[in-house]
Amino acid sequence: MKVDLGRVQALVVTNYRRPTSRHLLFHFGAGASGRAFLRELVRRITMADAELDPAPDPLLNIGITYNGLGALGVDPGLLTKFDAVFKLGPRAVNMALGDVADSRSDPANWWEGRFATEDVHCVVHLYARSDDAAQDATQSVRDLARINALTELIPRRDGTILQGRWYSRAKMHFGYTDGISYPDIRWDDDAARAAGQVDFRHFLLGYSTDECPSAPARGPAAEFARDSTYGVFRWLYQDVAAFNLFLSTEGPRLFPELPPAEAEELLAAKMMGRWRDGTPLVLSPERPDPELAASNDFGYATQDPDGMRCPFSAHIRIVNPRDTPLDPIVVDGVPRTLRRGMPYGSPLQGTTDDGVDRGLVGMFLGADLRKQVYTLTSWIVRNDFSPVYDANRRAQDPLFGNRAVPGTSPDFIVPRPGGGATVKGLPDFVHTKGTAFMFYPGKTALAELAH
Amino acid sequence: MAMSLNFTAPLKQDPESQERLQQLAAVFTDQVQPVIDTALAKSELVHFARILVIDNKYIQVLTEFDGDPMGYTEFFRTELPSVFEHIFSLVEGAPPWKEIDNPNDFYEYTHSLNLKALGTAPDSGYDHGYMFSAFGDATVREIKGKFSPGN
Repeated sequence: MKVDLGRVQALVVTNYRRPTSRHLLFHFGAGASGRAFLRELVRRITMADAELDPAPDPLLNIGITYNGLGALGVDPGLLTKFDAVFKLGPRAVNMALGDVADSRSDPANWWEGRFATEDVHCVVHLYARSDDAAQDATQSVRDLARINALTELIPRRDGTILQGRWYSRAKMHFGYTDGISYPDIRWDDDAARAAGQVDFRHFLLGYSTDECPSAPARGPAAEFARDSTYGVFRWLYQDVAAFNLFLSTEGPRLFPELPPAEAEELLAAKMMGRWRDGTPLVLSPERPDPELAASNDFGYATQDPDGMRCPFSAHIRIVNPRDTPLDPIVVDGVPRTLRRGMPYGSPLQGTTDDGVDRGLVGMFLGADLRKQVYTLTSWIVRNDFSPVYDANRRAQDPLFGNRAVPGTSPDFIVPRPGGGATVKGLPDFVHTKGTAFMFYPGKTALAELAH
Repeated sequence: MAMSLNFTAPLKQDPESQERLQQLAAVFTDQVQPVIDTALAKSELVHFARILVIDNKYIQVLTEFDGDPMGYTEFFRTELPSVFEHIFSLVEGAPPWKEIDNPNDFYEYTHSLNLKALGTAPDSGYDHGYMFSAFGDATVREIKGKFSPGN
């Protein structure tokens, strides 16, 4: 059995290289207008069998929410078979996402208060080589939406939309290199998977098995959803000034034996688990090494069992704990997800905030939202999935945790020879400005939705 | 703060199902309890758990546990499949076990029968109703740690 990639949206299979993106949010109109919109749009959707490099702008994909599928008139009997987390929506699982009430990530504040998350019916993602091309594509989709009575949802009070941009190739706002560790997916069953390869069933619906279940599991709903996937669309603000200030004050305090600039870099690496060029701390704990910047050939259980190189709470050790022993409660093993994201907003140097909105427009894709997204965000919120956290099971991801979540600790433990150091009172560096759970339809669902 | 599961389901009233209910009650201490004991001890996040039958008309699975309801439910399904298969076979309107023996459907079914307590949960963020705890938000691991040698 081999997946026909022509039936899968390319966004699922490929991390696009185009430097700019736009994300247009829409609410379908009454009646069949949503389907009419899709009927025109479907021929523009980039499928995974396309040759991407020579393809003209834009690369275009679409995700549809549970409410959007309902508004399109999808049979409720089919929808009831969908993933429980997808149906619940992000506001109902806000605790697992870390987006608690009365914090800056409170869902009541999402989308800058301009509309409710439940109003989002679809997101059209556009990727282009230039701003001009992105603008042309945006206008074209808007024209199509207007003709078909869709309402565009503008998520900012200043009237601007979400636009991603790589200012420096693969560099995120906190200065870390992105795009190093991705699952190696095996798209067929024709031969045994090589070590480290992941079954495509973790990322595509309609192929559920006992070993790799997904919902819909069987029947007409599974046929409808075949070659589709789920995704979590996240608008995450990053407070670069606060992050830089934190590094400049806490780095030298934590590592007084180093020059201040090196101490800052080491603290930044300890928080991520990699140096900002990508070098894994486990492989090179003293300094970045360009030879190792893209390395994924390491583990923790034997190479760093005590966290002396990479702290247990470092971001990459949480979201991909590799061979770390897991608690018995974690019956699913280590979840892997597909990340598709791009920074938005202009870069900032220094420790003074300029008031510009900047951060990450992220998409996290998988066939099982509970296992692949909900579980990982829960671990980010509270590091309590492995015996290695027994010293403090209330600790959070130092970069992405929301310190306002009840029952969590804002302390970051950095094990060191001769006694560990603890950073007390971690600030919030990131907060959520919007989230939507999406269904990225494959060819079967696209054809039915456009019918 | 611990979470609660208040699974409450109507029991089939036909004679055969009622007879099987009595058989379950008869063997519960010797055959079911040890299995539940082993699994819940292994989880290290369940504070208390018990199963009740009310007038042979309803069955309840009541537990207080740490953490997230979805992960907890899946642990139950994978560690105690025979227990839940047996209980669900006695429940009126329950889907066949083979239909819900997967993470998604098992979660949806059990939580469709999870009763919310009166009131509101303080400081948990979850909407599962009021529950008093003398231990604040201390977890099972933390409480056990207080009683370990040296503490």
